[in-house]
Amino acid sequence: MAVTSDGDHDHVLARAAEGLRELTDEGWVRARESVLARVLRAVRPSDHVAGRHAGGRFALATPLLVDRVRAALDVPEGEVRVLDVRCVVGPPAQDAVAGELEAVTVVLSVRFGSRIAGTAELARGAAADAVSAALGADFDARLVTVDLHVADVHPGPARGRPETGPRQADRSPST
Amino acid sequence: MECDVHHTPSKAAPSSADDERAVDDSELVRRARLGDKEAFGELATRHGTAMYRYARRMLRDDGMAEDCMQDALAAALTSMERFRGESTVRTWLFGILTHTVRRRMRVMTRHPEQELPPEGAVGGPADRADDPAAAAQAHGLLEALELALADLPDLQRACWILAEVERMPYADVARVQATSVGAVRGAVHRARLNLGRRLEPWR
Repeated sequence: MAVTSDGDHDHVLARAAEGLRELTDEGWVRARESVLARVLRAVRPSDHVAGRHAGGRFALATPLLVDRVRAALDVPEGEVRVLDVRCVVGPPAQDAVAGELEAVTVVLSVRFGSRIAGTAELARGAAADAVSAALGADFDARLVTVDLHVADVHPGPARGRPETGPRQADRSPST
Repeated sequence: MECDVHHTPSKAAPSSADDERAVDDSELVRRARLGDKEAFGELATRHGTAMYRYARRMLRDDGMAEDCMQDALAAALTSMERFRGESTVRTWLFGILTHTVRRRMRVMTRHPEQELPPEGAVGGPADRADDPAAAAQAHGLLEALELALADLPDLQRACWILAEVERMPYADVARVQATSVGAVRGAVHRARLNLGRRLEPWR
């Protein structure tokens, strides 16, 4: 049996592995943008909700509505992080592709140290506004129940100057 | 009632492009799950280079590696809800990729094996312009490694790349390969012996 130096082998292999680790394949550099663009166009099966504007009804995929609600609440330096958004959609009327939005449930994490009730109420308002904006000027958002579920808290940095809640800059405090 | 809340940037909500790098993978998954395509794009950019490196060495074909990347990323995007954080995001993505690579390899067995083109990399050791001799040597070693890797059995090649190149813990490699930690340890050990023999002239 040949005697080999494991240390030498390990050193060569480590150098080789490091070389490979540093490498970016040209094929990926060439392809990544088009691959990503094709992936992001992938359609996820989803329900549709009915919106209304002056021209009539339109259908909106629920992932889009979810993204609008998330974007409204998940603002930089905000007090909440959206963990989930669930839509309850009624059955479509005859010959319609989209049902009526009946309820939206937003599952949240709030920053540790924030006043949960006040922050949640602001979040509810921001979510309702986002639903209203997404489903058109003629959509009656009062018919939609917006439920909030504060499911978690996340660490907050050191306390400093007074904070705004979700979109609080645009809204007056609820109480 | 007053809102007793305070204004400080959080890790989850970066305020500048530089801070964006500080956003961890699980935060990007949370956003992507809620429809944030930019967050998914950041995840794909972050892990794409390593994923492609693995796919290309398993398949030895750029076109198929690209197809696998597209399939794997699309599968990740559409199954984002199923990621529950039992593993790291990277391990989860590699698991999906491994599944698509294996599917493609089954197709490949019906076709003649192709040689991995020798060129086609950027940012590797050959780019070290400050020491041309060292760069040439590193380039040669890398070529020899590519050839040696190509001759390894699939499991050895996969485990060695994941463990040694991507520095994945054995438990994560086992999860990605849907096998046991012991099997991974054995495969990496045999891969080291085989590669060591092939790279003997570089000692």
